[in-house]
Amino acid sequence: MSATARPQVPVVSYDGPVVAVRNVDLDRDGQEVLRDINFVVEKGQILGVVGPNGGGKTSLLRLVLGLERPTRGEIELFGQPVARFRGWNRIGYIPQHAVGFDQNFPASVREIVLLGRVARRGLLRWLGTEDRNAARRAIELCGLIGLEGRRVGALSGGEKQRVFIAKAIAAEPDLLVMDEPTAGVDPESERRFYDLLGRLKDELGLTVIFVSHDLGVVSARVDRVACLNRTLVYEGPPRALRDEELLRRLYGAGMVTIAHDQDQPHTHGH
Amino acid sequence: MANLLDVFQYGFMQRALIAGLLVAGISGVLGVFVVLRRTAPLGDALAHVSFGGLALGLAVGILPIYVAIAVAVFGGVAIRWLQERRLYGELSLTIVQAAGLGGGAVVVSLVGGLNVDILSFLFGLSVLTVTWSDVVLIAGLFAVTGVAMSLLYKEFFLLTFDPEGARVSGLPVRALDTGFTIVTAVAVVLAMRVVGILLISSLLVVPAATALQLRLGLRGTLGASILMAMLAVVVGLVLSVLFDTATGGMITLVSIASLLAALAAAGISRRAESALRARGREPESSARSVDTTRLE
Repeated sequence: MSATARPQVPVVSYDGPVVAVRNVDLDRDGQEVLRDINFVVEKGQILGVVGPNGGGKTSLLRLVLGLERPTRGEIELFGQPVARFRGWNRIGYIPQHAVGFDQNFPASVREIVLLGRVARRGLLRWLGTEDRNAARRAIELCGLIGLEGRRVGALSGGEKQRVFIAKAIAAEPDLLVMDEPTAGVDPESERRFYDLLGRLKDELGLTVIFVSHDLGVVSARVDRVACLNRTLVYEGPPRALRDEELLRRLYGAGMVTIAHDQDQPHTHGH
Repeated sequence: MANLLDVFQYGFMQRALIAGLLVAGISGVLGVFVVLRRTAPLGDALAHVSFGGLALGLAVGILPIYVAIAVAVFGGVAIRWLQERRLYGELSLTIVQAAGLGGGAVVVSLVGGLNVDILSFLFGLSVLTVTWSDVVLIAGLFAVTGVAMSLLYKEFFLLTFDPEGARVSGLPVRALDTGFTIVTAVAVVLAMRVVGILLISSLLVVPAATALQLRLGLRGTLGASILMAMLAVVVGLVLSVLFDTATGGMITLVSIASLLAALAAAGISRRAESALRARGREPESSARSVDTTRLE
């Protein structure tokens, strides 16, 4: 990448899938991590990736984000192979432990959300009015009005999570990728998170991929579910998910069927 | 008080003050990033490396500080190169530091052992020796590092807060890391001119640590760090003239005294806060006390 301004990717009209994963295998240190993964995510869809711990959920996200290369197979973002993809500012990413960052980091909510604009503005340019406006819209959308001047470390888990979403949204991405966004968040914040997810889809037309190990909630709130345990056990609309046979294939025998209850949203199958 | 400030009537004190304040400005800013990136030992390593450059400069008769900057920048790039190879992790600091010190020691012994010049580089300048050409050089490099920092502020902020996110968003992370190391190398050589190689953290790390106790936003923290570094320079200069002691050492002691004061104040305010909370709502206090452990 050159040291000057980032190459601005012209937004040509493109109607194909936002993400396409074809015949992907991933081996790491001789160990099979993912095998024969195939799926596409269309524009405006919310895809929930569920499955047991160690099933390769985070690895799959890393492949989609170009942080790792597949051993075999192809991944396309907005119709371009991931290796040649340059429109990274079209993708917002919230890593798994985003909320667990250094609690003493000296930054206000407004400062953190503005960071979402950094890559978009490009090197050697200062952030301006346009960036501050985008940050303010993101803060509004995520329900953080009144908290702008607060230190992020002093916020609750749910508020921190919304700060990270606002940071991602401030970049005005087309695709939002989140790894375990509801881990360690209280039930009320989790409900607010899914409401926010719906608004992002409806108001911004955002495509969202997120990982969760909470099958029950996910199936109620997404367009498509990908059930991952080394390989894709199921990929499609969430209605098939009550199928006991499917759950057994995903989590193995002995799995307790999750009767989902809003008061106890963290019933995990392992 | 008026009598104390009379010392600044002397030309040498004015020169020392200007040089000190410029150095405090740049190391105050860089220090915050160095501390937050958990790379506090980088400053020390680069300072030790620059000793090799000083020795080389003194030996061949070129202005030592230029050679020191060149060698420190080279050392910084070498550290990055070793880290990227993942051969040695944070050992790369120690390796490059040893190479600089060892090389410097050999060169010094070849040209006739330690002399006053070398000692002033180790423990900082004597206020009597700052020349106008020193001040001009420091001002020039202050301008260069200042411009670099203001142009790359947002990138360094993102890189510090969320390295993975910076990578995903397409920033040239490796180039920025190297750039940060180079700017730090230049700042370290400048700070060395004031407090000496062995006391570099008194201006680079300690004021930043003090500012972090105040629990401000990033801009506020940067401002507080600059003020803390400047305070240490001014008070340290005055005290060192008053008591006729080493300036670098005095600046260091003042800097550490203000850190201790800030730590004590932070402790008191946290205790008061949790006492208030305990009176209001019993169960809340355990949840908040998580973030009270830092810098112990």
